[in-house]
Amino acid sequence: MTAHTKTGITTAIVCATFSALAFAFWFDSGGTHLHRPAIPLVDTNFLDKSTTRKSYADLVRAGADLSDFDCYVCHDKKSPPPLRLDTNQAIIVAAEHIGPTTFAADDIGTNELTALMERLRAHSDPVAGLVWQRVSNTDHLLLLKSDLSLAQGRDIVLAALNKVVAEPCIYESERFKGIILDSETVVHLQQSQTGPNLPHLNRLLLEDAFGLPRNRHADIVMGHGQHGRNNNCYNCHNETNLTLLQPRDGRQLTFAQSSQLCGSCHGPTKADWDAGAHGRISGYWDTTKGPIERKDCVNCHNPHHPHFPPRRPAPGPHPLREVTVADASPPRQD
Amino acid sequence: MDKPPSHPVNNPAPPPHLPSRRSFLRTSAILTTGLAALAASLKPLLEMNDFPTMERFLQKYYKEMTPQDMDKVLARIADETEKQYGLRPHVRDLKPMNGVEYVYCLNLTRCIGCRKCVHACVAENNQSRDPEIQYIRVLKLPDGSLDVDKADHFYASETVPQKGFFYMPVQCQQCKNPPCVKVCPVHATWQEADGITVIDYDWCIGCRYCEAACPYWARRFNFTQPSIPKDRLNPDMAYLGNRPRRQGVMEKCHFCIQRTRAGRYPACLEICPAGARKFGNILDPNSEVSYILRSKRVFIQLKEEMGTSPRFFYYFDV
Repeated sequence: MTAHTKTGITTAIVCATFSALAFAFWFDSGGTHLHRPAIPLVDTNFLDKSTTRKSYADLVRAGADLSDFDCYVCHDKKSPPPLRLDTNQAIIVAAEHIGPTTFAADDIGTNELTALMERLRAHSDPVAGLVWQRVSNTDHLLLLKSDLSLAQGRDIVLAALNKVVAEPCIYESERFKGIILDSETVVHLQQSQTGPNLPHLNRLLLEDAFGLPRNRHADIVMGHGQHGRNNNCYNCHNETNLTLLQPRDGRQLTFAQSSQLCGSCHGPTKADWDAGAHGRISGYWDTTKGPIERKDCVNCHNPHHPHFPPRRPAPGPHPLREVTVADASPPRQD
Repeated sequence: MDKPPSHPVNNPAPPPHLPSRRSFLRTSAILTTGLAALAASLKPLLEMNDFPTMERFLQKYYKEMTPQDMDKVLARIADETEKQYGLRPHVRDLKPMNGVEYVYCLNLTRCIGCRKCVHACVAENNQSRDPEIQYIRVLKLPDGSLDVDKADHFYASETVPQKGFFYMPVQCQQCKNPPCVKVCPVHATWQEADGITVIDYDWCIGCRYCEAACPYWARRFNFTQPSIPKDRLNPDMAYLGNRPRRQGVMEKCHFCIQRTRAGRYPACLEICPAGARKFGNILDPNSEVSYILRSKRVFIQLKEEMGTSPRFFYYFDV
């Protein structure tokens, strides 16, 4: 073989190889994009800037119905309502302040009723399963019919829910796994698993499980402080004028001034709040450009059970592959 | 395969002014291969859907722009955004205020780890939703340690806060001595007079040195064209802030420059349900942050030993 032949063969091989590579690269063989599931948009609930609660001042500003705060519709102006204590010296909250224990027809709106009936038909989660068991066999068939009227459905659902309310405490950690309990329910769960408030506890549990609305004012549960010593209504309320609040120094404050009442015991927190270091703030840090918006204590804390309630976290970052906890935080050998 | 001529009589040599058959074949084979390789190597350009206009290509460096130049650039950005999203944004170039230095304080006792700040930030700052870019990472740490190696930021518990853990959101710390600025080869990122480290997205070449230099993993890179649903675009924009980014540029938290330089609080602070986040002017002795740094017992700067001197303070109370 002459040198010419060798050069020719080599050139041909090199050219063929590079052409093949160029061809493969052009048609992107083996260079496919990583397949990953689409990332869903975050639920707009998590973008909601509103506070946990509405304060009295908010209600006044919004021109809302304040009839709930009109104490003397029921109470007598002349005699302060007496306080009743049980054997543990815990206060017995009057039934009127706890709200009704049984479900009434107008407690459940149409949308909630439709959703509730869907969950009962599926009865795949444990709470819906429990309620489903309390529905009679004939009503099972009725519920499964597609042409069932809402009024009929409401009657069946109400009867089943009220049966469950009258039972012993329905709470089991396995049954309520994944359901976020309201802070009020949690306090009741500690105090009322037996006793006269049990039906109310069952009702709250059902409301949390099915996402039913709650009558906020009528529900009072005493859980201010974990020591259980702050159990006298008149520590904060003025017994001679129920529409006023009364710190221990004798000042008389309206409901809109409630933060001053809180500050009369929680001094350091009040000092932080005054300085803007505690609590929510929005608006303008530069007060020459616009107003600063402060929130009251009761915008975040329920005065009757002030502990900040737990909540569901917003979704975290979406990893490109499944991440186990072991991956995310490898064990350290120290 | 071109064989050497074995019968020169039957295959006479070509006239001297023409190439031989062999050299012609060889040259054309090499040329074809070369062209094919060139075409294949340029193929990724076909996927490029965002060729710079001449105007953008010739745009001046941010610090060298006259106000007239800036007006033109802002109009161009507004046009481009309107074309892409069907919504005319309000784009401004906000300058630092005199006598203002921003400081962020975060109360670790109050933070419940709900991650609302993460998503408020994404909504405010027009980050890409898919692929996902988030400026804030919330670390879940076991009580009693600040060892970030033990942190989990993918936690998905049913409820927060969980007993035995605390939550620490980490975002750009707006360092006084920022390593990201030092490594930028083109000065596309720098520290402004009010302490915010900013990025000129039109000047960034996407080398990602700053991402590697940052000890807080605060910088994010747009690996693909960002996608934002049209109805979720925030039209209140600033040049150095939340205007839409392109593929191949870095971005990071800028303390919501479009809000804070207009006197407002950042988005992550406004949404925090626990009131754990505090922001303000450290040069003003009456601001919340001055009060916190003056009167709170413990406050830490994350990875203090790196010498970055963050303007982001974590503190505890109670």
